[in-house]
Amino acid sequence: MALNSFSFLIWFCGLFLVLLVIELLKKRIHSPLIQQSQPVVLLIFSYLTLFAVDWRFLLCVLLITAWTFAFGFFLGNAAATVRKRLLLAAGITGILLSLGYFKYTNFFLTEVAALLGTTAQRIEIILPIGISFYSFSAISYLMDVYRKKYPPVTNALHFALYIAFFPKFMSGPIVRGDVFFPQVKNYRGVTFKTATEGVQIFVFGLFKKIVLADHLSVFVDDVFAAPSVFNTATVILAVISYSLQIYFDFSGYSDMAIGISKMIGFDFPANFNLPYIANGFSDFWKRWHISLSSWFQEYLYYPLGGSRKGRLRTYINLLIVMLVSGLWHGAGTTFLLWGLLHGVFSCAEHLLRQKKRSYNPLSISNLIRIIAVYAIVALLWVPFRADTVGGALAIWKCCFVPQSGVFQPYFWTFIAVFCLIVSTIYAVVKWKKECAGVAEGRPPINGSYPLLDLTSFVPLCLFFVFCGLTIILGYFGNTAFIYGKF
Amino acid sequence: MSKFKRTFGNVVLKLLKIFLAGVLALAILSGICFLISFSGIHIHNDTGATDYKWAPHQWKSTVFESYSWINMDENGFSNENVYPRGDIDVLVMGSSHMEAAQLPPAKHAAGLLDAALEENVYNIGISGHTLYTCVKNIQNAMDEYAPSDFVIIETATIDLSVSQMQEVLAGEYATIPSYDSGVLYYLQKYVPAIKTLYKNISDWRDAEADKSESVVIPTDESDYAKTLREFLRTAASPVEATGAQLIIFYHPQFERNDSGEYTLQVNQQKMAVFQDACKNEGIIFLDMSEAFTDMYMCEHVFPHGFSNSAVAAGHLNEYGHQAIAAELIKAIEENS
Repeated sequence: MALNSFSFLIWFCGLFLVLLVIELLKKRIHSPLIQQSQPVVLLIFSYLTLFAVDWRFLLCVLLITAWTFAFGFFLGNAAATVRKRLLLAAGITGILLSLGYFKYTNFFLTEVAALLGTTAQRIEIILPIGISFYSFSAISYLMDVYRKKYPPVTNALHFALYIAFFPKFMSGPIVRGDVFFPQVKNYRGVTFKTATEGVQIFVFGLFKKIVLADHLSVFVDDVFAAPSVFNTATVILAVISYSLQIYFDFSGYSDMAIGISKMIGFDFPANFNLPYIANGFSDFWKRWHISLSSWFQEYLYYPLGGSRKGRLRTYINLLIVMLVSGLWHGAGTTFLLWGLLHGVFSCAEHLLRQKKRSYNPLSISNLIRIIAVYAIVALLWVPFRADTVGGALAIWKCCFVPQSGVFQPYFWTFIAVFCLIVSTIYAVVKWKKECAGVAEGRPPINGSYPLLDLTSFVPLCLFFVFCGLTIILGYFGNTAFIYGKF
Repeated sequence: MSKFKRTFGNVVLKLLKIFLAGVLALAILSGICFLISFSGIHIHNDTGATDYKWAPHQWKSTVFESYSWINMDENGFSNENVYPRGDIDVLVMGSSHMEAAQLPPAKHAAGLLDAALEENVYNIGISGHTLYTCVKNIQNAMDEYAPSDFVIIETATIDLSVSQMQEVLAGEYATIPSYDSGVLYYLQKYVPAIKTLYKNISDWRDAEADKSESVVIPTDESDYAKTLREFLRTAASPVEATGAQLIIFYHPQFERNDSGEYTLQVNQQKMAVFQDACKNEGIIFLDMSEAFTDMYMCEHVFPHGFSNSAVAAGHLNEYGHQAIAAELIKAIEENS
């Protein structure tokens, strides 16, 4: 059940009303039953949502929850370092085995068979929704407990909610324990201010998804399925369109998850920060799917040694992280190729890195770097989108070898570019205001939500207009979230 | 009591503010809809030549399939020129493809015919009027417009349903309803945002519905051919009675196959049956397949679809209408 589905919204309105009623009761009835009931309601709702999709998915979540909770408890109580390491290894191995079984069995069977020159018969295995996301949440919890970042959670309900919390469950963001647990422990409840801010962030996300990403998907699907039919300009436009589609799709989903969470009492950090104004690959990964990138940095790159063990090890570590990231996104050679190429470009960037100079994001040289990085990132999305490596090569060929064919200057691509430019200008203007008079150490340009005060008449009216426009301009052809399948 | 009154007053004021903001937002959205997506209001057509027509000089706009801002003619149809009864030589009937809300009246096939031929061409094509509806209404259309030379009917399919043809033959084929009175009429007329919001919310809700394909009931081929002949005779008879000739043209759509090629999906078996039935009933049948294929191969353009919609899908575009007009002109000149 996707966050942008009509039935989910109706379902969520029911939950919001229940939370609101409890909020009102909390002010009058001081029984602990009422005071602590909202997280219970949230957990029940999360499990019911999952159950409505497939009961086996719920079973999978319950098993991972029990497994991780138990290992977290043992880790917290283990004294000897060796015992702790063994427990951590066992805990993580269990989670990775379940992830590997559900997600990668067929991939490895197919690839091994291909290496041996035979073909393997695919095994019918269900892919539980959100498994990549909640597995990573579970692993980060065990590592954090091992590192004593915070003590193991003793409240099973809080931990179960951490794994199954419905807004972030299907496609993230991957919220860490140190962000989640304090909020559930000291649950702030539903407030008017956070609810109105949350609903605005949600509608921003919905606009990105159903107006921009879904319209773009129509064109991208057409061109990627038959690149030889179209002329070079159209194929290049489709590559640009896909880079915009995946950004609006996933950042839209993240906004919706963050907005819904805010409405029901949780604050999660932004998951995207204007990634296409990145002036390098490391900058790009600080702005794209931040919760996943930082997860890989903290739980894979640093444990491998990061950049502390010499240049060669740094490059190897970068390549490993990007390859694992590729594999995490999908069990397929196209994702491995995508990860490998990102790794190669990240290494090249490290190799060519110059001494840090004063940061001026509006300088010509910086703008050229931004365009170059965007162009490479957009081209690297091609294997991410293509069904096969051959398909990706065909698209790249169409981009660089001029060919005649159907010309389709797709309108929604220009609308999406316009929206991207407007949001960037808004961020730049805000940044310039913040940096007025600051000569040194200026922060990078950050994106933000232009939130309105809905207690006033005009902002309320504008918000209603924006909601109406989102529905009027929306595409309702049943397109799933791109990251939903990961 | 006074505290209660104060609280109650505050709640009422807040609700009033929300209500007024909603009303103002709806007015703004209606203005926007009027410019970017407005189809107008159905009015029941008393003549029966079509199930409905648009309001006289109805304004229509769209930016979702082509970019078009047009006005219907004084009768509620898409024409550059309006001719009185008795002065019409060629009558064009058909669906939204012929209404062509995506193009100005001078650029759709009927408009191009009117400009190219010396004859007066009048188009009563209107959304939802498939071949079944056109055949159902043809007698009334002949009575109303009495074209002297030709009646042209557009069809997007030649694979017809036996049951629907039988409904037309039995006079039981349903008429498209019009909400041209009461609250619904005024809401559509003055608050167009409501119609668009209602439609899109319905589409949103239906997008999750089960998309499993309906079971196709096999039909007896001889039954099909017999019913089709009868159905086409019903179309041809009223036209012949006035001394005019009936032309049916078929415009298939390109579809992408699994190997990534765009080809015209035409059921050749049904095509043969349809051509045969047309020949038997004295109907001139135009299959646009060859013209469309040539156009695609030589000029790399599809007859359907626009730069803001799916490739090769949807309504006929400018190129499609031009190709159809060219074929129709040829057919009319050959048969005049």
